[in-house]
Amino acid sequence: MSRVRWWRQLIPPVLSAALVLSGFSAAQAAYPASIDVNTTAFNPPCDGDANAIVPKMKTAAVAAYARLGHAATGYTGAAFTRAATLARTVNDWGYYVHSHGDYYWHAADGRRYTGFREDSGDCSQAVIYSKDIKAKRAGRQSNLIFVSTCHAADAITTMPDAFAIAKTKTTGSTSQGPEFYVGYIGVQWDTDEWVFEQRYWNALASNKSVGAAFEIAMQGTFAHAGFDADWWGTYYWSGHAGPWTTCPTCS
Amino acid sequence: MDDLPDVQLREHPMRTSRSSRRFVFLFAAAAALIAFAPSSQGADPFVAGGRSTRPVTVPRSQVDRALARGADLARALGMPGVSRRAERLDDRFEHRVYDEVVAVDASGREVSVARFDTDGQVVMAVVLGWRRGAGPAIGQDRAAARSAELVQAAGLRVSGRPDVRASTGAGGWSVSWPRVVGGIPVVGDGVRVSLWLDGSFHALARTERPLASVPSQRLSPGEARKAAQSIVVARFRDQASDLRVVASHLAWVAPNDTWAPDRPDAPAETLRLAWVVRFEARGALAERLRVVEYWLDAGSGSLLGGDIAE
Repeated sequence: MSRVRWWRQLIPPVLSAALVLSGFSAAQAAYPASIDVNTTAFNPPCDGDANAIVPKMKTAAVAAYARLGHAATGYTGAAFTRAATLARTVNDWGYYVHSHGDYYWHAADGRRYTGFREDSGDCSQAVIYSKDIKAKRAGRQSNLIFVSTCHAADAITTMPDAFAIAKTKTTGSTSQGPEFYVGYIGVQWDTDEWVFEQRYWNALASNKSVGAAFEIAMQGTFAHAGFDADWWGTYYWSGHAGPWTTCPTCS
Repeated sequence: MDDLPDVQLREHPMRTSRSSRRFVFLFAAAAALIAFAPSSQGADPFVAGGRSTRPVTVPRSQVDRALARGADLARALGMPGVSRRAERLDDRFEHRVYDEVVAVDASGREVSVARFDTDGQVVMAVVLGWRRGAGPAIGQDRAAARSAELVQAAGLRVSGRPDVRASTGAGGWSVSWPRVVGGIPVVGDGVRVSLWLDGSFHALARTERPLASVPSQRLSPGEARKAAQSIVVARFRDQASDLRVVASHLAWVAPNDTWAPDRPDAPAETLRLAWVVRFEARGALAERLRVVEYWLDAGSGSLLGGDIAE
């Protein structure tokens, strides 16, 4: 074999790999997932401390959703605004958010909704109410929804409904489709959330179901005894992006 | 680790030409670049976005030992499963190596997971499937007693009155025995049992991390508060008055990167003695952070890490 031509043998396998990967990317593009992370609120000048936990939560979530087959994109700063989130949510199959969350009063409606604050790149951050998301999504199917904020999974939370996820726990051979909602109960600490999330993403990467991953994540080493979270959806679902097209219970 | 990994090396008998070796090498390199570059990470330490566990090859005898431990624990705690598989995992986030035993039912569905230290002590046990108990709900005292029975059945020892609280994520009750050393709490360490509302077993977790030596000299409570308040004033400036100290106590903590992004993404392996000074926010600041903690080395006063509730 000549020294000039030996590299030509690389062409077919490299092309094949590229084609396989491009096909994989095309499949991913069909199932977008947005990862919204509020960095500005927890860094100077809004908050005197530079918070290092929030960026790694974003990195971990983007990687996790990509492993699940989503076209996962992280947004923060001016890219995570109320308007941008509501525009993206129409197409999102998966969604993760880390921000300041609460059961916010909505003056116009005279009632409260679960919500979270946008980032917007400044210290004046509008609330994104569950009703805003619900109106945009209009009942479209969701996959994995992880709301990493305080109060997102309180018993009275209105957030799962925004993503058309019923607040029921489906286990065994029954299912409510390829959907799962995870959130925290009450006020929680960042370090505990980080432990929970890392354990959750790692369990999913180890092919545990979304429900089993929740149970394994709950066994973490938490700094605060009051750490608590909840879930709704289909326990025995793999978390992989997209609708069920064949055997639902095989997932 | 009590035994070294069983690494098998063997000579490859096939002789290859220089060009074909180059071909194989370059192909492997290209494939690795294409397939793994987006998710690759260094061998150590744990990096956010990557997986925290990786399998460790061990001899068959150790796998069998883990399977036997899994079967024993399942009998002791009433964990389901008709067959089991085991593997050793190196967890770089938790800085420990453990044997994971996964049990499946007759249909092959995973129904429980148990993890054991390499010395055989249980680290975690959880019954999967969110199978709520069917019996009548038990009260707080019964939950404490029932959990103590389960801890003993798992071969662990605890003492003192546990912390018992209702927990949605636990499925009913969360009963814990926090670790205390020399009267000082070890944050996060201890034994925790999760029960369904009827008292049936759901999960168990045990953490006991190494502690650094106690500093020869300690800051006084007043010095610790003053040091923490200096941090707040320096960082929050005109907003500092919106933060007030609500608690301050000594504790063993795992140093972290909460305030220092150049530190590793996982909490440190060895815990240090610290003053934990907690501030509560009010006014507009409370819309961004609710509570914040600074962990100051009990000896030097240096900032070991902290926490924030947003």
